[in-house]
Amino acid sequence: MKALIIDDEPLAIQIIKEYLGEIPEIEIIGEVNNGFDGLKAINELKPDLVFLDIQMPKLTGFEMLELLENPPMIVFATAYEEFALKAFEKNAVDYLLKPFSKSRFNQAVQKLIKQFAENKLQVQDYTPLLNNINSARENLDRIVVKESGKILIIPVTDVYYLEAADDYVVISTANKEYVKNATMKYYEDSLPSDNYVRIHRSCIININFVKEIQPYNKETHSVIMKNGKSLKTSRQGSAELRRVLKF
Amino acid sequence: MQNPFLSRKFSTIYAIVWFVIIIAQIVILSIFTDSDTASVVIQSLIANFSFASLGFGIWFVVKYNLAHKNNIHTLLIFSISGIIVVGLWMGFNFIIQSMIMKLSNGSLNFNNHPLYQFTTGVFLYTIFVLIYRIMILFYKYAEKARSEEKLLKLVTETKLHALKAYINPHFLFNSLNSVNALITVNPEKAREMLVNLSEYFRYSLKQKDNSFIRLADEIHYTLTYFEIEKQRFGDKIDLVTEIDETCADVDVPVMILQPLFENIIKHAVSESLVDIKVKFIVKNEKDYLFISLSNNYDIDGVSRSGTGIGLRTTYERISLIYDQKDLTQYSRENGIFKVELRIPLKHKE
Repeated sequence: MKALIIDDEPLAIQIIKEYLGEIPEIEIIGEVNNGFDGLKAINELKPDLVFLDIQMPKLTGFEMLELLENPPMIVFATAYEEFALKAFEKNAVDYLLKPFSKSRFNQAVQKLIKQFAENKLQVQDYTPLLNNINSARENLDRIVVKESGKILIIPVTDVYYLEAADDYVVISTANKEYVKNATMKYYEDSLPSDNYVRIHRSCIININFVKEIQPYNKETHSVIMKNGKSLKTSRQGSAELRRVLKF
Repeated sequence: MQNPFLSRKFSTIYAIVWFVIIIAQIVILSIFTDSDTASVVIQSLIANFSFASLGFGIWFVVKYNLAHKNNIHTLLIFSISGIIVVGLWMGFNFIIQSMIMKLSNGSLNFNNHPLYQFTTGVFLYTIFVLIYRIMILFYKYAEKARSEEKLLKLVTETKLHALKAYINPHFLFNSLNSVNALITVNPEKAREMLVNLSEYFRYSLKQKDNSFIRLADEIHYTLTYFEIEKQRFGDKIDLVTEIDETCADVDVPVMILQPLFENIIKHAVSESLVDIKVKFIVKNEKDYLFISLSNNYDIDGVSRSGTGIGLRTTYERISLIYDQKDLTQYSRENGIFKVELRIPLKHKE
Protein backbone atom coordinates (compact mmCIF):
# COMPACT_ATOMS: atom_id res chain seq x y z
CA MET A 1 0.00 0.00 0.00
CA LYS A 2 1.46 3.35 -1.04
CA ALA A 3 1.23 6.28 1.37
CA LEU A 4 1.73 10.04 1.01
CA ILE A 5 2.22 12.38 3.97
CA ILE A 6 1.00 15.99 3.79
CA ASP A 7 1.84 18.28 6.70
CA ASP A 8 3.42 21.73 7.01
CA GLU A 9 5.47 20.86 10.09
CA PRO A 10 8.61 18.78 9.39
CA LEU A 11 8.49 17.12 12.80
CA ALA A 12 4.89 16.08 12.28
CA ILE A 13 5.96 14.29 9.09
CA GLN A 14 8.90 12.83 10.98
CA ILE A 15 6.75 11.08 13.57
CA ILE A 16 4.46 9.52 10.97
CA LYS A 17 7.49 8.28 9.05
CA GLU A 18 8.89 6.79 12.21
CA TYR A 19 5.67 4.97 13.09
CA LEU A 20 5.27 3.74 9.51
CA GLY A 21 8.83 2.36 9.57
CA GLU A 22 7.54 -0.59 11.54
CA ILE A 23 4.71 -1.39 9.18
CA PRO A 24 5.94 -3.41 6.20
CA GLU A 25 2.58 -3.26 4.38
CA ILE A 26 2.92 0.46 3.82
CA GLU A 27 5.49 2.15 1.64
CA ILE A 28 6.02 5.92 1.85
CA ILE A 29 6.09 7.34 -1.66
CA GLY A 30 6.29 11.01 -0.82
CA GLU A 31 5.98 13.84 1.65
CA VAL A 32 4.87 17.40 0.94
CA ASN A 33 4.23 20.43 3.13
CA ASN A 34 1.18 22.14 1.65
CA GLY A 35 -2.16 21.50 -0.02
CA PHE A 36 -1.11 22.62 -3.50
CA ASP A 37 1.80 20.22 -3.67
CA GLY A 38 -0.38 17.61 -2.02
CA LEU A 39 -2.91 17.83 -4.81
CA LYS A 40 -0.20 17.54 -7.43
CA ALA A 41 1.47 14.62 -5.65
CA ILE A 42 -1.81 12.73 -5.32
CA ASN A 43 -2.55 13.10 -9.03
CA GLU A 44 0.95 12.10 -10.06
CA LEU A 45 1.89 9.44 -7.55
CA LYS A 46 -1.59 7.96 -7.06
CA PRO A 47 -1.15 6.88 -3.42
CA ASP A 48 -3.60 4.45 -1.83
CA LEU A 49 -3.45 6.29 1.45
CA VAL A 50 -2.82 9.89 2.53
CA PHE A 51 -1.93 11.18 5.97
CA LEU A 52 -3.36 14.67 5.89
CA ASP A 53 -3.00 17.71 8.13
CA ILE A 54 -5.85 20.24 8.08
CA GLN A 55 -4.31 23.65 8.77
CA MET A 56 -1.76 24.29 6.00
CA PRO A 57 -0.65 27.23 3.86
CA LYS A 58 -2.63 28.07 0.70
CA LEU A 59 -4.97 25.14 0.70
CA THR A 60 -6.29 23.45 3.83
CA GLY A 61 -6.59 19.68 4.01
CA PHE A 62 -10.35 19.94 3.56
CA GLU A 63 -10.10 22.27 0.59
CA MET A 64 -7.62 19.93 -1.04
CA LEU A 65 -9.93 17.01 -0.51
CA GLU A 66 -12.81 18.93 -2.12
CA LEU A 67 -10.80 19.24 -5.32
CA LEU A 68 -9.90 15.57 -5.69
CA GLU A 69 -11.94 13.64 -8.23
CA ASN A 70 -10.76 10.23 -7.13
CA PRO A 71 -9.64 10.61 -3.57
CA PRO A 72 -7.55 7.87 -1.96
CA MET A 73 -8.15 6.74 1.62
CA ILE A 74 -7.48 9.57 4.03
CA VAL A 75 -6.26 9.63 7.61
CA PHE A 76 -6.47 13.06 9.14
CA ALA A 77 -3.68 13.95 11.53
CA THR A 78 -4.35 17.24 13.24
CA ALA A 79 -4.41 19.12 16.52
CA TYR A 80 -7.87 20.48 15.72
CA GLU A 81 -10.56 19.01 17.86
CA GLU A 82 -13.24 21.46 16.79
CA PHE A 83 -14.54 19.34 13.95
CA ALA A 84 -17.29 16.95 14.72
CA LEU A 85 -15.58 13.67 15.37
CA LYS A 86 -18.86 11.87 14.86
CA ALA A 87 -18.71 12.77 11.18
CA PHE A 88 -15.58 10.71 10.85
CA GLU A 89 -16.88 7.68 12.64
CA LYS A 90 -19.42 7.13 9.92
CA ASN A 91 -16.90 7.37 7.14
CA ALA A 92 -14.04 5.35 5.77
CA VAL A 93 -11.44 7.58 7.33
CA ASP A 94 -9.70 7.91 10.62
CA TYR A 95 -8.84 10.98 12.60
CA LEU A 96 -5.65 11.14 14.63
CA LEU A 97 -5.45 13.85 17.24
CA LYS A 98 -1.93 15.19 17.68
CA PRO A 99 -0.01 14.08 19.59
CA PHE A 100 -0.97 10.46 19.04
CA SER A 101 0.55 7.28 20.43
CA LYS A 102 2.04 4.49 18.39
CA SER A 103 -0.75 2.14 19.38
CA ARG A 104 -3.45 4.60 18.33
CA PHE A 105 -1.60 5.10 15.05
CA ASN A 106 -1.32 1.34 14.49
CA GLN A 107 -5.01 0.96 15.18
CA ALA A 108 -5.80 3.42 12.38
CA VAL A 109 -3.37 1.73 10.02
CA GLN A 110 -4.80 -1.75 10.68
CA LYS A 111 -8.29 -0.46 9.99
CA LEU A 112 -7.11 0.96 6.68
CA ILE A 113 -5.20 -2.15 5.65
CA LYS A 114 -8.34 -4.18 6.29
CA GLN A 115 -10.49 -1.80 4.34
CA PHE A 116 -8.00 -1.65 1.50
CA ALA A 117 -8.12 -5.44 1.19
CA GLU A 118 -11.91 -5.54 1.29
CA ASN A 119 -12.94 -2.86 -1.16
CA LYS A 120 -10.00 -2.14 -3.29
CA LEU A 121 -12.13 -1.08 -6.18
CA GLN A 122 -14.61 1.01 -4.30
CA VAL A 123 -14.33 4.71 -4.94
CA GLN A 124 -14.07 6.82 -1.82
CA ASP A 125 -16.73 9.46 -1.52
CA TYR A 126 -16.00 12.22 0.95
CA THR A 127 -18.75 14.59 -0.09
CA PRO A 128 -21.06 13.88 2.88
CA LEU A 129 -18.10 14.15 5.21
CA LEU A 130 -16.98 17.47 3.78
CA ASN A 131 -20.49 18.84 3.86
CA ASN A 132 -20.73 17.82 7.45
CA ILE A 133 -17.42 19.36 8.42
CA ASN A 134 -17.97 22.59 6.54
CA SER A 135 -21.41 23.04 8.05
CA ALA A 136 -19.83 22.67 11.45
CA ARG A 137 -17.38 25.42 10.63
CA GLU A 138 -18.50 28.82 11.71
CA ASN A 139 -18.09 30.78 8.53
CA LEU A 140 -16.82 29.96 5.11
CA ASP A 141 -14.34 32.62 4.03
CA ARG A 142 -13.12 31.34 0.68
CA ILE A 143 -14.16 28.90 -2.00
CA VAL A 144 -11.63 26.78 -3.83
CA VAL A 145 -12.39 25.85 -7.44
CA LYS A 146 -10.58 24.11 -10.22
CA GLU A 147 -10.60 25.65 -13.66
CA SER A 148 -8.79 24.13 -16.63
CA GLY A 149 -6.22 22.46 -14.39
CA LYS A 150 -5.59 25.54 -12.28
CA ILE A 151 -6.69 25.95 -8.70
CA LEU A 152 -8.34 29.23 -7.87
CA ILE A 153 -9.11 30.57 -4.44
CA ILE A 154 -12.06 32.93 -4.40
CA PRO A 155 -12.67 34.99 -1.26
CA VAL A 156 -16.38 34.77 -0.50
CA THR A 157 -16.48 38.57 -0.38
CA ASP A 158 -15.88 38.55 -4.16
CA VAL A 159 -18.85 36.29 -4.85
CA TYR A 160 -21.90 38.09 -6.29
CA TYR A 161 -24.35 35.20 -6.29
CA LEU A 162 -24.62 31.41 -6.39
CA GLU A 163 -27.12 29.47 -8.49
CA ALA A 164 -28.15 25.84 -8.43
CA ALA A 165 -27.65 23.81 -11.61
CA ASP A 166 -28.49 20.11 -11.30
CA ASP A 167 -25.91 18.58 -8.96
CA TYR A 168 -23.68 21.63 -9.20
CA VAL A 169 -23.56 25.15 -7.92
CA VAL A 170 -22.55 27.96 -10.26
CA ILE A 171 -20.60 30.62 -8.39
CA SER A 172 -20.56 34.07 -10.01
CA THR A 173 -18.16 36.91 -9.31
CA ALA A 174 -18.18 40.33 -11.03
CA ASN A 175 -17.54 38.86 -14.47
CA LYS A 176 -16.73 35.16 -14.11
CA GLU A 177 -18.57 31.97 -13.36
CA TYR A 178 -17.21 28.89 -11.63
CA VAL A 179 -18.77 25.48 -11.25
CA LYS A 180 -18.48 23.49 -8.08
CA ASN A 181 -19.78 20.11 -7.06
CA ALA A 182 -21.73 21.09 -3.95
CA THR A 183 -25.23 21.79 -2.71
CA MET A 184 -27.14 25.03 -2.12
CA LYS A 185 -27.92 23.82 1.39
CA TYR A 186 -24.22 23.61 2.10
CA TYR A 187 -23.57 27.19 1.02
CA GLU A 188 -26.66 28.46 2.76
CA ASP A 189 -25.40 26.92 6.01
CA SER A 190 -21.78 27.91 5.76
CA LEU A 191 -21.80 31.42 4.25
CA PRO A 192 -22.12 34.25 6.79
CA SER A 193 -25.88 34.79 7.02
CA ASP A 194 -25.71 38.54 7.53
CA ASN A 195 -24.35 39.07 4.03
CA TYR A 196 -25.58 36.10 2.02
CA VAL A 197 -29.28 35.57 1.57
CA ARG A 198 -31.06 32.68 -0.07
CA ILE A 199 -33.60 34.55 -2.16
CA HIS A 200 -34.87 31.47 -3.96
CA ARG A 201 -34.60 27.69 -3.76
CA SER A 202 -31.97 27.94 -6.47
CA CYS A 203 -30.22 31.21 -5.65
CA ILE A 204 -28.12 32.83 -2.92
CA ILE A 205 -27.00 36.45 -3.28
CA ASN A 206 -24.35 38.59 -1.64
CA ILE A 207 -26.32 41.63 -0.48
CA ASN A 208 -23.25 43.86 -0.83
CA PHE A 209 -23.52 43.62 -4.60
CA VAL A 210 -27.21 44.40 -4.90
CA LYS A 211 -27.86 47.46 -7.03
CA GLU A 212 -31.63 47.58 -7.07
CA ILE A 213 -34.66 45.68 -5.86
CA GLN A 214 -37.85 45.99 -7.87
CA PRO A 215 -41.28 44.55 -7.14
CA TYR A 216 -41.99 41.66 -9.51
CA ASN A 217 -45.22 40.11 -8.36
CA LYS A 218 -47.39 40.94 -5.43
CA GLU A 219 -45.10 39.15 -3.03
CA THR A 220 -41.90 38.61 -4.96
CA HIS A 221 -39.10 40.83 -6.19
CA SER A 222 -36.58 41.09 -8.92
CA VAL A 223 -33.04 41.76 -7.65
CA ILE A 224 -30.64 43.58 -9.98
CA MET A 225 -27.00 42.93 -9.13
CA LYS A 226 -24.19 45.44 -9.70
CA ASN A 227 -23.00 43.47 -12.73
CA GLY A 228 -26.42 43.84 -14.34
CA LYS A 229 -27.69 40.33 -13.62
CA SER A 230 -31.35 40.14 -12.67
CA LEU A 231 -32.49 37.46 -10.21
CA LYS A 232 -36.00 36.53 -9.09
CA THR A 233 -36.95 35.93 -5.50
CA SER A 234 -39.46 33.44 -4.18
CA ARG A 235 -42.10 34.52 -1.67
CA GLN A 236 -40.04 33.12 1.17
CA GLY A 237 -36.89 34.63 -0.35
CA SER A 238 -38.51 38.07 -0.42
CA ALA A 239 -39.42 37.76 3.23
CA GLU A 240 -35.85 36.80 4.04
CA LEU A 241 -34.47 39.70 1.99
CA ARG A 242 -36.82 42.10 3.75
CA ARG A 243 -35.66 40.80 7.09
CA VAL A 244 -31.96 41.25 6.30
CA LEU A 245 -32.16 44.55 4.40
CA LYS A 246 -35.02 45.92 6.53
CA PHE A 247 -37.14 47.42 3.78
CA MET B 1 -25.68 67.72 23.85
CA GLN B 2 -27.48 69.39 21.00
CA ASN B 3 -30.01 72.20 21.27
CA PRO B 4 -33.08 70.74 23.00
CA PHE B 5 -35.35 72.90 20.85
CA LEU B 6 -34.45 70.64 17.94
CA SER B 7 -36.37 67.91 19.67
CA ARG B 8 -40.10 67.98 19.02
CA LYS B 9 -40.80 66.52 22.44
CA PHE B 10 -38.92 69.27 24.25
CA SER B 11 -40.49 72.04 22.17
CA THR B 12 -43.97 70.67 22.87
CA ILE B 13 -43.37 70.51 26.61
CA TYR B 14 -41.89 74.02 26.50
CA ALA B 15 -44.98 75.37 24.75
CA ILE B 16 -47.33 73.60 27.15
CA VAL B 17 -45.50 74.90 30.23
CA TRP B 18 -45.66 78.48 28.97
CA PHE B 19 -49.30 78.08 28.09
CA VAL B 20 -50.01 76.94 31.66
CA ILE B 21 -48.01 79.85 33.07
CA ILE B 22 -49.92 82.35 30.92
CA ILE B 23 -53.29 80.93 31.98
CA ALA B 24 -52.26 80.84 35.64
CA GLN B 25 -51.01 84.40 35.52
CA ILE B 26 -54.21 85.65 33.88
CA VAL B 27 -56.37 83.90 36.46
CA ILE B 28 -54.31 85.13 39.39
CA LEU B 29 -54.07 88.71 38.19
CA SER B 30 -57.82 88.82 37.40
CA ILE B 31 -58.72 87.63 40.86
CA PHE B 32 -56.22 89.49 42.98
CA THR B 33 -55.88 92.83 41.15
CA ASP B 34 -58.51 95.24 39.99
CA SER B 35 -57.22 95.42 36.42
CA ASP B 36 -59.70 94.70 33.63
CA THR B 37 -59.48 91.26 32.00
CA ALA B 38 -58.44 92.52 28.55
CA SER B 39 -55.43 94.35 29.99
CA VAL B 40 -54.43 91.37 32.08
CA VAL B 41 -54.63 89.00 29.08
CA ILE B 42 -52.62 91.23 26.77
CA GLN B 43 -50.04 92.06 29.41
CA SER B 44 -49.56 88.43 30.29
CA LEU B 45 -49.26 87.38 26.65
CA ILE B 46 -46.64 90.02 25.85
CA ALA B 47 -44.53 89.39 28.94
CA ASN B 48 -44.56 85.64 28.70
CA PHE B 49 -44.17 85.32 24.94
CA SER B 50 -41.17 87.57 25.03
CA PHE B 51 -39.56 85.61 27.83
CA ALA B 52 -40.33 82.33 26.12
CA SER B 53 -38.43 83.60 23.08
CA LEU B 54 -35.51 84.81 25.19
CA GLY B 55 -35.45 81.42 26.91
CA PHE B 56 -34.23 79.99 23.63
CA GLY B 57 -31.16 82.18 23.84
CA ILE B 58 -30.42 81.32 27.47
CA TRP B 59 -29.63 77.79 26.31
CA PHE B 60 -26.52 79.01 24.54
CA VAL B 61 -25.38 81.00 27.55
CA VAL B 62 -25.63 77.87 29.70
CA LYS B 63 -24.16 75.52 27.17
CA TYR B 64 -21.05 77.58 26.36
CA ASN B 65 -20.52 78.68 29.90
CA LEU B 66 -20.08 75.08 31.03
CA ALA B 67 -16.73 75.01 29.30
CA HIS B 68 -15.23 77.21 32.02
CA LYS B 69 -14.03 75.57 35.16
CA ASN B 70 -13.52 78.82 37.10
CA ASN B 71 -16.51 79.48 39.39
CA ILE B 72 -16.12 83.26 39.66
CA HIS B 73 -15.82 83.50 35.91
CA THR B 74 -18.96 81.41 35.49
CA LEU B 75 -20.89 83.46 38.03
CA LEU B 76 -19.84 86.67 36.33
CA ILE B 77 -20.96 85.50 32.91
CA PHE B 78 -24.28 84.28 34.28
CA SER B 79 -24.86 87.58 36.08
CA ILE B 80 -24.00 89.75 33.08
CA SER B 81 -26.05 87.71 30.66
CA GLY B 82 -28.86 87.64 33.24
CA ILE B 83 -28.89 91.44 33.45
CA ILE B 84 -28.83 91.65 29.65
CA VAL B 85 -31.67 89.15 29.24
CA VAL B 86 -33.85 90.72 31.94
CA GLY B 87 -33.03 94.23 30.66
CA LEU B 88 -33.96 93.28 27.12
CA TRP B 89 -37.14 91.70 28.32
CA MET B 90 -38.20 94.69 30.42
CA GLY B 91 -37.33 97.14 27.65
CA PHE B 92 -39.25 95.16 25.10
CA ASN B 93 -42.28 94.86 27.37
CA PHE B 94 -42.19 98.57 28.13
CA ILE B 95 -42.07 99.61 24.47
CA ILE B 96 -44.81 97.23 23.33
CA GLN B 97 -47.04 98.03 26.28
CA SER B 98 -46.65 101.77 25.74
CA MET B 99 -47.46 101.38 22.06
CA ILE B 100 -50.56 99.34 22.79
CA MET B 101 -51.71 101.77 25.48
CA LYS B 102 -51.32 104.64 23.02
CA LEU B 103 -53.19 102.79 20.27
CA SER B 104 -56.04 101.86 22.59
CA ASN B 105 -56.42 105.51 23.66
CA GLY B 106 -56.20 104.63 27.32
CA SER B 107 -58.91 101.96 27.31
CA LEU B 108 -56.21 99.42 28.18
CA ASN B 109 -54.14 100.04 31.22
CA PHE B 110 -51.05 98.10 32.24
CA ASN B 111 -49.70 98.69 35.61
CA ASN B 112 -46.60 96.89 36.63
CA HIS B 113 -43.98 98.06 38.94
CA PRO B 114 -40.41 97.86 37.45
CA LEU B 115 -39.14 96.23 40.63
CA TYR B 116 -41.81 93.57 40.43
CA GLN B 117 -40.92 93.00 36.75
CA PHE B 118 -37.22 92.86 37.49
CA THR B 119 -37.75 90.29 40.26
CA THR B 120 -39.92 88.16 38.00
CA GLY B 121 -37.31 88.38 35.22
CA VAL B 122 -34.45 87.36 37.48
CA PHE B 123 -36.56 84.55 38.92
CA LEU B 124 -37.45 83.20 35.48
CA TYR B 125 -33.88 83.56 34.25
CA THR B 126 -32.58 81.59 37.26
CA ILE B 127 -35.15 78.86 36.71
CA PHE B 128 -34.10 78.62 33.07
CA VAL B 129 -30.42 78.37 33.89
CA LEU B 130 -31.08 75.72 36.51
CA ILE B 131 -33.26 73.59 34.24
CA TYR B 132 -30.76 73.77 31.37
CA ARG B 133 -27.88 72.92 33.65
CA ILE B 134 -29.71 69.97 35.11
CA MET B 135 -30.54 68.76 31.60
CA ILE B 136 -26.92 69.01 30.49
CA LEU B 137 -25.60 67.32 33.62
CA PHE B 138 -28.11 64.54 33.26
CA TYR B 139 -27.15 64.06 29.63
CA LYS B 140 -23.45 64.00 30.50
CA TYR B 141 -24.07 61.50 33.25
CA ALA B 142 -25.96 59.20 30.88
CA GLU B 143 -23.21 59.54 28.31
CA LYS B 144 -20.54 58.72 30.85
CA ALA B 145 -22.45 55.66 31.97
CA ARG B 146 -22.68 54.57 28.34
CA SER B 147 -18.96 54.97 27.67
CA GLU B 148 -18.09 53.22 30.92
CA GLU B 149 -20.23 50.31 29.93
CA LYS B 150 -18.45 50.19 26.59
CA LEU B 151 -15.06 50.23 28.27
CA LEU B 152 -16.07 47.45 30.63
CA LYS B 153 -17.23 45.32 27.70
CA LEU B 154 -13.94 45.90 25.93
CA VAL B 155 -11.92 44.94 28.99
CA THR B 156 -13.88 41.72 29.39
CA GLU B 157 -13.47 40.92 25.70
CA THR B 158 -9.74 41.54 25.85
CA LYS B 159 -9.39 39.43 28.95
CA LEU B 160 -11.28 36.63 27.33
CA HIS B 161 -9.09 36.70 24.27
CA ALA B 162 -5.94 36.85 26.34
CA LEU B 163 -7.14 33.86 28.29
CA LYS B 164 -7.69 31.96 25.07
CA ALA B 165 -4.20 32.87 23.91
CA TYR B 166 -2.69 31.62 27.17
CA ILE B 167 -4.05 28.20 26.71
CA ASN B 168 -4.19 28.01 22.91
CA PRO B 169 -4.80 24.28 22.59
CA HIS B 170 -3.78 24.19 18.95
CA PHE B 171 -0.34 25.51 19.79
CA LEU B 172 0.01 23.22 22.80
CA PHE B 173 -0.92 20.01 21.01
CA ASN B 174 1.13 20.72 17.90
CA SER B 175 4.13 21.48 20.08
CA LEU B 176 3.65 18.28 22.04
CA ASN B 177 3.44 16.43 18.75
CA SER B 178 6.81 17.92 17.77
CA VAL B 179 8.28 16.84 21.11
CA ASN B 180 6.93 13.36 20.47
CA ALA B 181 8.77 13.28 17.14
CA LEU B 182 12.00 14.68 18.60
CA ILE B 183 12.22 12.12 21.37
CA THR B 184 13.65 9.49 19.02
CA VAL B 185 15.55 11.64 16.52
CA ASN B 186 16.99 14.25 18.86
CA PRO B 187 16.31 13.64 22.57
CA GLU B 188 18.37 16.70 23.57
CA LYS B 189 16.18 18.98 21.45
CA ALA B 190 13.06 17.25 22.77
CA ARG B 191 14.10 17.99 26.30
CA GLU B 192 14.86 21.62 25.44
CA MET B 193 11.49 22.08 23.78
CA LEU B 194 9.64 20.52 26.69
CA VAL B 195 11.38 22.84 29.13
CA ASN B 196 10.64 25.83 26.91
CA LEU B 197 6.99 24.84 26.73
CA SER B 198 6.75 24.49 30.50
CA GLU B 199 8.45 27.80 31.06
CA TYR B 200 6.17 29.59 28.64
CA PHE B 201 3.00 28.05 30.05
CA ARG B 202 3.98 28.71 33.64
CA TYR B 203 4.61 32.34 32.73
CA SER B 204 1.33 32.76 30.92
CA LEU B 205 -0.72 31.09 33.64
CA LYS B 206 0.63 32.93 36.65
CA GLN B 207 0.18 36.41 35.22
CA LYS B 208 -2.72 38.42 36.48
CA ASP B 209 -4.62 40.46 33.95
CA ASN B 210 -3.14 43.86 33.22
CA SER B 211 -0.21 43.58 35.56
CA PHE B 212 3.20 44.88 34.56
CA ILE B 213 6.45 43.09 33.94
CA ARG B 214 10.07 44.01 33.26
CA LEU B 215 10.65 44.34 29.55
CA ALA B 216 13.59 41.93 29.73
CA ASP B 217 11.28 39.24 31.18
CA GLU B 218 8.53 39.90 28.67
CA ILE B 219 11.05 39.57 25.85
CA HIS B 220 12.53 36.43 27.38
CA TYR B 221 9.17 34.64 27.60
CA THR B 222 8.01 35.85 24.22
CA LEU B 223 11.19 34.59 22.60
CA THR B 224 10.78 31.31 24.48
CA TYR B 225 7.39 31.04 22.85
CA PHE B 226 8.85 31.90 19.46
CA GLU B 227 11.64 29.37 19.92
CA ILE B 228 9.00 26.65 20.29
CA GLU B 229 7.31 27.80 17.09
CA LYS B 230 10.66 27.86 15.30
CA GLN B 231 11.23 24.30 16.38
CA ARG B 232 7.83 23.35 14.96
CA PHE B 233 8.32 25.00 11.59
CA GLY B 234 12.01 24.28 11.22
CA ASP B 235 14.01 26.46 8.86
CA LYS B 236 10.96 28.37 7.73
CA ILE B 237 11.40 31.12 10.32
CA ASP B 238 14.42 33.39 10.54
CA LEU B 239 14.54 35.81 13.49
CA VAL B 240 16.83 38.81 13.78
CA THR B 241 16.78 40.85 17.01
CA GLU B 242 18.16 44.28 17.82
CA ILE B 243 17.55 44.90 21.50
CA ASP B 244 18.87 47.91 23.37
CA GLU B 245 19.93 46.43 26.73
CA THR B 246 19.39 49.73 28.54
CA CYS B 247 15.64 49.21 28.19
CA ALA B 248 15.67 45.99 30.21
CA ASP B 249 14.11 47.46 33.34
CA VAL B 250 11.24 49.34 31.73
CA ASP B 251 7.86 48.09 32.96
CA VAL B 252 5.49 46.98 30.23
CA PRO B 253 2.01 45.40 30.35
CA VAL B 254 2.38 41.67 30.58
CA MET B 255 1.74 39.58 27.42
CA ILE B 256 1.91 42.61 25.19
CA LEU B 257 4.48 41.17 22.77
CA GLN B 258 3.46 37.53 22.57
CA PRO B 259 0.25 38.19 20.55
CA LEU B 260 2.32 40.05 17.93
CA PHE B 261 4.62 37.07 17.48
CA GLU B 262 1.67 34.70 17.49
CA ASN B 263 0.15 36.80 14.75
CA ILE B 264 3.20 36.21 12.57
CA ILE B 265 2.82 32.46 13.02
CA LYS B 266 -0.88 32.54 12.26
CA HIS B 267 -0.92 34.82 9.26
CA ALA B 268 2.53 34.63 7.73
CA VAL B 269 4.18 31.32 8.64
CA SER B 270 1.08 29.11 8.48
CA GLU B 271 -0.21 30.74 5.33
CA SER B 272 2.89 31.00 3.24
CA LEU B 273 5.11 28.68 1.22
CA VAL B 274 8.15 30.93 1.44
CA ASP B 275 10.47 31.40 4.41
CA ILE B 276 9.54 34.15 6.84
CA LYS B 277 12.15 36.65 7.98
CA VAL B 278 11.26 38.37 11.25
CA LYS B 279 12.96 41.49 12.53
CA PHE B 280 12.49 42.57 16.14
CA ILE B 281 13.80 45.95 17.29
CA VAL B 282 13.62 47.45 20.79
CA LYS B 283 15.09 50.85 21.60
CA ASN B 284 14.72 54.07 23.55
CA GLU B 285 13.05 56.96 21.82
CA LYS B 286 12.77 60.15 23.91
CA ASP B 287 9.97 59.53 26.41
CA TYR B 288 8.98 56.26 24.84
CA LEU B 289 10.10 52.71 24.54
CA PHE B 290 10.00 51.92 20.85
CA ILE B 291 9.27 48.39 19.68
CA SER B 292 9.13 47.37 16.04
CA LEU B 293 8.32 43.94 14.66
CA SER B 294 8.29 43.28 10.94
CA ASN B 295 7.96 40.25 8.72
CA ASN B 296 7.47 39.37 5.08
CA TYR B 297 4.26 37.61 4.10
CA ASP B 298 2.75 35.97 1.05
CA ILE B 299 1.17 38.75 -1.03
CA ASP B 300 -0.91 36.28 -3.05
CA GLY B 301 -2.33 34.69 0.07
CA VAL B 302 -6.08 35.02 0.45
CA SER B 303 -6.33 36.04 4.05
CA ARG B 304 -8.67 34.02 6.17
CA SER B 305 -11.20 35.61 8.41
CA GLY B 306 -10.13 36.53 11.92
CA THR B 307 -7.08 38.35 10.65
CA GLY B 308 -5.35 40.31 13.34
CA ILE B 309 -7.36 39.48 16.44
CA GLY B 310 -4.09 39.29 18.34
CA LEU B 311 -3.11 42.72 17.03
CA ARG B 312 -6.42 44.20 18.03
CA THR B 313 -6.04 42.84 21.54
CA THR B 314 -2.64 44.45 21.91
CA TYR B 315 -3.84 47.70 20.39
CA GLU B 316 -6.88 47.88 22.67
CA ARG B 317 -4.97 46.96 25.78
CA ILE B 318 -2.31 49.58 25.16
CA SER B 319 -4.81 52.33 24.43
CA LEU B 320 -6.80 51.41 27.54
CA ILE B 321 -3.81 51.20 29.84
CA TYR B 322 -2.10 54.39 28.67
CA ASP B 323 -5.27 56.22 27.65
CA GLN B 324 -3.69 57.18 24.34
CA LYS B 325 -4.85 56.02 20.93
CA ASP B 326 -1.80 56.56 18.77
CA LEU B 327 0.69 54.23 20.44
CA THR B 328 0.24 51.37 17.99
CA GLN B 329 0.84 51.55 14.26
CA TYR B 330 0.67 49.00 11.48
CA SER B 331 1.86 49.15 7.94
CA ARG B 332 1.76 46.75 5.04
CA GLU B 333 4.14 47.71 2.27
CA ASN B 334 5.96 45.79 -0.44
CA GLY B 335 5.14 42.45 1.13
CA ILE B 336 6.38 43.53 4.56
CA PHE B 337 4.05 43.72 7.50
CA LYS B 338 5.23 45.93 10.32
CA VAL B 339 3.89 46.72 13.79
CA GLU B 340 5.26 49.58 15.84
CA LEU B 341 4.55 50.16 19.52
CA ARG B 342 5.42 53.12 21.66
CA ILE B 343 5.20 52.56 25.38
CA PRO B 344 5.37 55.71 27.53
CA LEU B 345 8.32 55.45 29.91
CA LYS B 346 6.64 57.53 32.60
CA HIS B 347 3.39 55.92 33.47
CA LYS B 348 1.26 56.88 36.42
CA GLU B 349 0.06 53.64 37.96
